[in-house]
Amino acid sequence: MENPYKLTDELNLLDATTTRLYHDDFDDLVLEVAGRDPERGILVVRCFPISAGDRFIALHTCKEKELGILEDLAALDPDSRNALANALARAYFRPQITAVYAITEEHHIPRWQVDTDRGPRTFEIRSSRRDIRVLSQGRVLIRDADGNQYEIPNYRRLDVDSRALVEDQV
Amino acid sequence: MADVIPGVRVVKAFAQEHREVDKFESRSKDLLQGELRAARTRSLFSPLMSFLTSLGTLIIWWVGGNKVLGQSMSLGEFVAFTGYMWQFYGPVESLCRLNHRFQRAATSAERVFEVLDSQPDVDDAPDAKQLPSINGHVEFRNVSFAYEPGKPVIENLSFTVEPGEMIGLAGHSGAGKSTLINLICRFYEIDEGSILVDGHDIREVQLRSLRDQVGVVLQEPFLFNCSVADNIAYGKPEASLNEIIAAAMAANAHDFICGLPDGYDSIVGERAVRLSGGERQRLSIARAILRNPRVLILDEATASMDTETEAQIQEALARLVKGRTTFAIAHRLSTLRNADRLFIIEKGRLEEMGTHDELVALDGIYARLVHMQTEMGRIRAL
Repeated sequence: MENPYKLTDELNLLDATTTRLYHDDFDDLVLEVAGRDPERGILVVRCFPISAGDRFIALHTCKEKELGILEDLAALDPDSRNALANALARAYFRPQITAVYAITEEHHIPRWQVDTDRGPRTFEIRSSRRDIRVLSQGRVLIRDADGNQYEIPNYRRLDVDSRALVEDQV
Repeated sequence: MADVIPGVRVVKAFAQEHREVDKFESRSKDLLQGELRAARTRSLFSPLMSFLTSLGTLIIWWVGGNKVLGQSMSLGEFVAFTGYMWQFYGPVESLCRLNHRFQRAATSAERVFEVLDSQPDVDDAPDAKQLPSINGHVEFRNVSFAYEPGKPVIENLSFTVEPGEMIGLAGHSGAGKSTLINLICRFYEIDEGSILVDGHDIREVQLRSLRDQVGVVLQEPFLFNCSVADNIAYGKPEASLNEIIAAAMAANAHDFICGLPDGYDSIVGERAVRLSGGERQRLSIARAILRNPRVLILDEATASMDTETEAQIQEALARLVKGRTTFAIAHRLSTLRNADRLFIIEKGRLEEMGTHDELVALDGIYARLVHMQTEMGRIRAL
């Protein structure tokens, strides 16, 4: 019997060779796809922000309607790639933690005092178990109580005191 | 504790906190008494051992001292003997302390081995063959089954379902609908008759090759505490990211997944507590779509959903069932309106069979159920 249903037909992939992205004078991201009117104020969403950040990027209108998915950032022309990379960097602002000075706890809420590549920060997280994700090769993602994300690229490479503090949490 | 903590809402809603705390205290006191008894025995054992070793030492000094004085043993030999003796006592005392730990471990091991040694009720026959890729032809031939001897749940059931046909299973609670679909998956062994899939008796094929080609969407889907993507790809771990997204799109799940903080990489939490019932159900549909099964079982897949969520899930299911042999159980009969045929099961027997119009015209059990549900709908609307 013939396969009743071709699953990959569901995908709304954009052809990288006919897709152009750029920022207009108002710094809004614009999407141009051959045969369609340009769309302004594009929002970018990573489908796999942790495991495949540069692949499967969904492009949404400002009303959050999905226009399509770009399978691979690298397949775009260099200008479009830069424009999309900038938009992603803005949408997924994630300072990198370079040192941890203290992790204290009050009323069961951990408070982290850290230094990041964007300057010193103090933040609270709701639960160490839920909001700290340890990935492969020592990569750690932390989401604070306000939803902001922080990243430690490899906690084993932090200074001895910072590493001891992080190891206590992970 | 295992019951009460997950059911804390019920406990609070029925104001039973004090009763549960009392129960917990009573059990804790029993445990405490037991531990105290064990500690008392241990506390007697240890001084007894010390007493015996000291007594042994005293005897050795008495006997050895006399021998040294009587010059039948040199002082050096005696000192060496007592030195070796103390080296021997240390391990013996450690062994005695080990006994307590060993007893505890043995009790735990007994329970673990009870589970490990249990034999599955349904297993592959020694000469079981691989079920080849199927079209989805399902036949029940005089099937009877009982969970307990003498209390049949399915009695002499016979029917044939063609590939791609959608069958709606309806009937009163306890009629045997869920048992019927459990038998298709061979979760239980039938007592009489045979179940054939594409002409193969399911008892003669390898379980894995059968279940690989059967997809199940349950009323309460179970999701594992891993990422959304891992849950979708659970039945097909080798699935590409393309396939995972496509399955989520087909299940109307892609939009809400993209709205999660980490998209497809979001962790769903233990028992998927971070997702709503409708979201969990759509992920389970995506999981079923990705496996691309030839036979599909929907067991109350849209029960206890609000109207909007049900509409989204129905839309996803419509894509899923297309071209597949489908058995759908639903108490809300309107959800079976797309079925090619309806089987009305009553006390384990196939009492009525036909399309919605045919069964309404028959004015039997189905017609009564439809009438009752229509009346209930009217009452609710008032």
